[in-house]
Amino acid sequence: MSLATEDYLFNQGHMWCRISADGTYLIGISDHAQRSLGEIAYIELPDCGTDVAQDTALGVIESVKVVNDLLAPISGSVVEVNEDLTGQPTRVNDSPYEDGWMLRIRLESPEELNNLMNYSQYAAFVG
Amino acid sequence: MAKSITIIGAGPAGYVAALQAGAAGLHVNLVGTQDAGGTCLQRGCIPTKTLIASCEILEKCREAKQFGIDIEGSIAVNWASQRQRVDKVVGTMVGGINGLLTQRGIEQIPGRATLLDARTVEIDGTTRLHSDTILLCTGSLPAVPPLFQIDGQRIATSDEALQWDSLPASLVIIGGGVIACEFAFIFQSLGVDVSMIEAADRPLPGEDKDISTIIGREMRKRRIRFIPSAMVNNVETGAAAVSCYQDDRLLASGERALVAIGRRPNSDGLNLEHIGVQTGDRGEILVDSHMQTTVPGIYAAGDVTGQLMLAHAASAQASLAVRHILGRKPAPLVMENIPRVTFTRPEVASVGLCEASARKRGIDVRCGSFDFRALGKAHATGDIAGLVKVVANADNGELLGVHMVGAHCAEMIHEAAVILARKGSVEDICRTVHAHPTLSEALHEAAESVFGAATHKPLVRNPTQDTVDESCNRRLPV
Repeated sequence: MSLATEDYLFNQGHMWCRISADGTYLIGISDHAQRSLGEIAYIELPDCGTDVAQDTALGVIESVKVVNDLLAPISGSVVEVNEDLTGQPTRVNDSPYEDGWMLRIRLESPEELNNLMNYSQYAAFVG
Repeated sequence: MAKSITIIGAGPAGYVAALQAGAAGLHVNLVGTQDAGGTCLQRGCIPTKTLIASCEILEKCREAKQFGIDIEGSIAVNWASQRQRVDKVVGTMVGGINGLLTQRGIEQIPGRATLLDARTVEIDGTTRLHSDTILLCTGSLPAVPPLFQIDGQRIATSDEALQWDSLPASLVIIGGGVIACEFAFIFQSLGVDVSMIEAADRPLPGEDKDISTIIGREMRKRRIRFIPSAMVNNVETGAAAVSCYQDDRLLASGERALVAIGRRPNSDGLNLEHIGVQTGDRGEILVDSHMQTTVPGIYAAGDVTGQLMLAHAASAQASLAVRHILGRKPAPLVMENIPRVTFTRPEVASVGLCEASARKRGIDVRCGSFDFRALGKAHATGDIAGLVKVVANADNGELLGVHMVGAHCAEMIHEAAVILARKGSVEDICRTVHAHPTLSEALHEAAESVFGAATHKPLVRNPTQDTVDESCNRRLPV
């Protein structure tokens, strides 16, 4: 089972973000989400340069069970897309907090981080 | 009452009218410039569905390993053989129609018709036919703006594309409607690199937005490039590529281009203005609710009336016209209750109002939807991409429309069409036991989810949400 650390911040849409050394943020979905979704079949992500807004749909994830919107944990500009997921979407199942990251985002409004839960709070949220 | 009828055009309107009029005892002159079956059979519905059948087998072969079938050797596309199969299928169907016409004693008169008056038709400027009534079923032609110089090879319409001797390596399709989308999936499946340029913001803009969204996603999965909200206003045909521009912006280029922006009614050359048959801006023949033109005794049916340009709509209009001619006082057609099908992969089918149209009419709307991927049958067959959406009147549960995307939708839509025709409700669908395991269970579950919870769907945390269109607001599971 994958575990996040306190570096990871979560929204109620089960997406995480984590700051990188260069100040940008990686985002992905939680281990709880990937387990609930089951085997992931397809992930649709925005192109580099796209602006995303906190708690609005930034893309779509299809598993063998359901199709769901991905709700952005933070607002900002997409600076990198994890292209490895195109051919291997199940990387998200295997490694939701590391290899299964989805986007790298340049954060627009640092105060938005206050809207997010830390790992302990998120663990309590999902019970 | 009329004892004779001259029918001009032998497509799905004309030949159906001939068969029904002949069966009712009218003397029928069936005039046409081509074999029976019209665009639908010669250059439209049937040729494309025949090619799609080849594409489906091709894709099943490629997916065979997932189903526990090992295929040794390569799987190759043989375009020439596919075209031969199209010719064979079309030939069989033309033969069938000819047999039915002959059996009813209906003679097909080849030639181009011109109307001289409300009772007289002239064929190729020589022979004159007199009859009590005339039915115009001259169909439609691909609409081609002057910008596109159709040479049939580098730049083609759907008519010529079906006759191509070879497949291009890459193709730009101008248009994003039914014909454009069907060809996009066909050619992509056969290995062609496909780009599409569409003026609207989504593929199949005539369909419910949720359905378009899924088809758009299926296109992206197949790497069909869809360029939305774009208008080609400059085309350059070079040695290697046809390039389509909007001003200075290169939208897409490919070895060949296919212009599929719609069809225009084919009413030229009939001498309509001379005898007082009025036409609209697009050349469509104006008709009343019984398909009678502005000249009593002259009727029109099918694409030439510029309404719903679908073969089965044409046949229904033709049948209505014949019954009116026979004095049977038929009820007018409710055009929105005629099912619409698009053979993309997966298929799209709809009947009735979409959510946006219903809201525009001021109706308090509630919607329900259900994903194919929650169905056991969909997993068994590997067809998990799909959705059924039910649009209902929130006040009384009246069914307003059903919209489907998924395998075999074109077959499944008729259950909804029957209920709409009888002004039924979502409750009628809910109370009807649907066989398991079938894909039709998706309609049952979508109907259940309009006012309550679909049995096989996670409960929504906030059931008071007004949007109820859960497909538009699907969060990750909680």
